[in-house]
Amino acid sequence: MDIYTGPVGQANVTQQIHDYSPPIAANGLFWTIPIDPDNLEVNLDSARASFHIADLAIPDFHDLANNLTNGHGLSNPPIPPIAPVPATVSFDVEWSGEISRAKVVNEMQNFSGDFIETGSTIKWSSEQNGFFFDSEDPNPARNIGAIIGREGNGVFFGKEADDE
Amino acid sequence: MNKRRLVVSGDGLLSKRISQHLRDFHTADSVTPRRSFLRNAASMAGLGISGLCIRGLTQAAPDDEGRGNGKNVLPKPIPGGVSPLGIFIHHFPVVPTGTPLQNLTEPSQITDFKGFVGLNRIRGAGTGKGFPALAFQADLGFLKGIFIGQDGEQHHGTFGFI
Repeated sequence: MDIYTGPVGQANVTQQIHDYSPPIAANGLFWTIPIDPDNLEVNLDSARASFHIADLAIPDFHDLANNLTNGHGLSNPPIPPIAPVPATVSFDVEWSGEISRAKVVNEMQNFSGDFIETGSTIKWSSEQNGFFFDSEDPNPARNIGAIIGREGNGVFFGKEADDE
Repeated sequence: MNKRRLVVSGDGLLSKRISQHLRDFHTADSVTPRRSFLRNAASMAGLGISGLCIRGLTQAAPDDEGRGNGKNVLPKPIPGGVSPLGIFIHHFPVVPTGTPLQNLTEPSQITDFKGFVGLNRIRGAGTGKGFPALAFQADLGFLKGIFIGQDGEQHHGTFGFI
């Protein structure tokens, strides 16, 4: 979850002032952490999902470069090293509004499943020493891309429809 | 919003996990990812907040319905990914709206996984202390299902991509 003083995106990383995410795991697992199942609701029949978390304690890495290098910055583009600091984030994110639906088999990336392209919205906030942020209200026009589905990958490739 | 407080912090098993990661995911034909990961991992070691914390991972235990005990089990990352700023990550950003689903890239961050998955990207605006107008990008997602963990056992868990 990134905050910029100007246009967003990695091409504008010099204008980024906050970057909230879990640390990358030592085995490379990327920005993924266990959550309470009660924080998540999924209904593929109605093409809807919601993910809510309040007051999640999480590092602020300042910018993507310092996130990916864990505070060591970059030489190209020149991003000075900035150590992560503690913060909290809260968010309500929704996936809804079916755009398309299809079964996908991607042998190159070794996953398959039934996927739905949807809209999505978010309302979120952050808080830390000396700073707070409040996003605008949920706005469907802000969605760049959203997918929900049921899949199997790796050893479960092609087995996503099996009973769990 | 639900008032559930989660904690993300560091742990100290970095060297062991780096070795395991390199054995599992970075062979001789992936020199660039290996170099990038080492730079990343070395940076983490210097700051002492490496990886996902054991305390955080144990939060998955009540959800575990697999054969393993579910404690201290790290899911394995997908082998593929992209390289923002030249640094390899085990993640594919969501495809933009309007992309044919047949061109979908892997939305999961966890490999050997079967279950529900979601991923999105939203760009919007907001306000912050000292800043009347700010822009944001949020990439969020979820995973709920079974997975083969780093321990080789099958587990059930619910995860957020944040």
